Amino acid sequence: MCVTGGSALAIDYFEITNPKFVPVKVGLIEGAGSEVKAIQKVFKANLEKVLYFQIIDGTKAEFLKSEEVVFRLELLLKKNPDQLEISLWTQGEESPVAQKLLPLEEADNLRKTGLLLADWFVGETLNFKGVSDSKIAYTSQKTNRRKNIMLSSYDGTLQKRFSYNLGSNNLASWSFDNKNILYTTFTRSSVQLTIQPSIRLRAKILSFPSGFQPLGASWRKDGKSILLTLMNKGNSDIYSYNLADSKLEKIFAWKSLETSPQMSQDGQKIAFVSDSARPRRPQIYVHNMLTNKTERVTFRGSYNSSPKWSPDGSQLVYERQIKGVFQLFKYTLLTRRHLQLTFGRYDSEKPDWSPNGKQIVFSAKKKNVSKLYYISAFGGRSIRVTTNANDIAETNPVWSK
Amino acid sequence: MGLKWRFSGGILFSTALHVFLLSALIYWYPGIISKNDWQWDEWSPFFANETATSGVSGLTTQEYGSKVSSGILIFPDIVLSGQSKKEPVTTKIKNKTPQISIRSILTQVGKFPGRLKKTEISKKPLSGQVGKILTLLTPVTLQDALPKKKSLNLNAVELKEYRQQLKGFLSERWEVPIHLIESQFTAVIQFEITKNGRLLSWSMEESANSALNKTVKKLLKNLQFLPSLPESYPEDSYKFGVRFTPANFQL
Repeated sequence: MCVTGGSALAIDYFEITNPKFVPVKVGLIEGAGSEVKAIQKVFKANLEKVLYFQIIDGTKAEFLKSEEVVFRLELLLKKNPDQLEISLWTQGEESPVAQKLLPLEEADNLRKTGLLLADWFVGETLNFKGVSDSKIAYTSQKTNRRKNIMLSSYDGTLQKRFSYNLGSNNLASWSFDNKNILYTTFTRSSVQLTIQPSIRLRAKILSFPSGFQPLGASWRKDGKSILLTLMNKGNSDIYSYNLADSKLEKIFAWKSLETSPQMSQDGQKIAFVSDSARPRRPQIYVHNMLTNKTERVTFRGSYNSSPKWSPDGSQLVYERQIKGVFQLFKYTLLTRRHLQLTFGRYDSEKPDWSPNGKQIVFSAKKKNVSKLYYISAFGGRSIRVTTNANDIAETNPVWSK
Repeated sequence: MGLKWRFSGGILFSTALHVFLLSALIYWYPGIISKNDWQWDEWSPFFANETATSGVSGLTTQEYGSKVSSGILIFPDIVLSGQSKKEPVTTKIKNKTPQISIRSILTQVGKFPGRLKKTEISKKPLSGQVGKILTLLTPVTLQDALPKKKSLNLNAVELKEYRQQLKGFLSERWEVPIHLIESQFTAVIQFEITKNGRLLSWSMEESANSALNKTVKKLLKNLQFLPSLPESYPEDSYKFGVRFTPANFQL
């Protein structure tokens, strides 16, 4: 805010630069034909999850009259060859601001066309990459059943069971190339780490010497090694494990508890949690591998955990306990500022970034059962990811990179 | 003799003890903080410039024993702000002997005839030459003080406070569709408000973006009052300008 003024004739000037942003109203012109309607359905389901749009169905004439609708989108089916002509108008403009022709595939691939359309629309209107083809891995548990890793599409309409073993599976982590998922398997006698290709069901199990118990792991940037927390004699430390030669090397082996290591996208920084400052009061630390220095980043609150790097490595999202309730916070490394994202009277936990850094997925216990939600990376309202029944608890979501 | 020496020694010891206690009190009294009182410096183990190298191959291993170290601490949550101590401003008042002459009094009286009220102060006859001259004058008193010089703008402190109020007030009410985020378009409005904040008039200088102009017009449509002006503001109305630029994100 800047102010000018002072002389007898000059007046004071104020600058308002942070308005309240509201979703953009998008008019979707009713399409003709079953294919167009199917594509529109997929488009709507995905665009609603972006949180920045409000979709309104109607006719072209209605949208022309409306002063509220900022964008209007029309889909026309063209034959020989089968193509979908997409036209995008902005308010007050007579000619479309963008047009695109999409080849119309078979009925099975109409969903793919809908996803392409959603990403194209986001790119044209908001100037960032859409994430409709991304996936979310999370832990699902039916009441009195074992935990399993599930995969969900971005719009939550497609759900697939991912882990098929007899143990209880939890704490998934995507590799940076999205080819593998790493998760922890708890059996009655031991705890193992499991690495499974994201498109296959065959898994590789990593076992550890007796006395060492893995407590979750995440991928290193190179994809050839992992960062893991090992518990030994009541103390947990962070190790790096080379998948090729099974070599284990200590990274953070303080006398306190260190957990939740996360490597940044550029492979230069590791965020982790330690109660080194005060026992049972975990705080978040960032280790810079170039300078070999470790810096504490959270000072407020007695419980800060679950750090996750933003795709550009400039921010961290984490959970902090405030008055007995977990809330999500965002930390910007450059400004050293912490911004609270959630304010509900329920636990909001285990956040993770979208591949474009514009959204965050997390689990929240709004009622009795934990469910997955999306929230904008700037805060605001949240929206459910899946439509699973109430007897299924959804926790520990991780977004593909 | 021995008693005398003992007495003197006692006095000396007592004096030394008192001096020591007074020094200690001044040094450790709360509010007088030395570097040693800043315990964070010693408390945090995570800002050591040097880190112990692990015996095991790896990146770094910080042993517990080497955790206590001094270094530069950064508090992301806490912004410490302070003002540098300013030298107290001393104003020297010179003792001036008033130089008042009859001529100067007459001149001053002649200057402000409208503000003077003629009153009989005393009917007692004055003696001497000076008295004779003074009887020629009509005793007067000032009706009111000189009018204060009024400023059209708020002073710096008031302006800062009012700016914060106005910023919060307008930011909360100005709704902008999300696709206009970080756009560099600016709409400018000049407001005129009464002292209690009632909107008297406004004029708008539109931006090049019609969608942005609409959001500002929508804001104005529902706007009747703005935050009221500080009590000390002397005028009945206040004219100011607001530049609307949707640059920062707030949901």
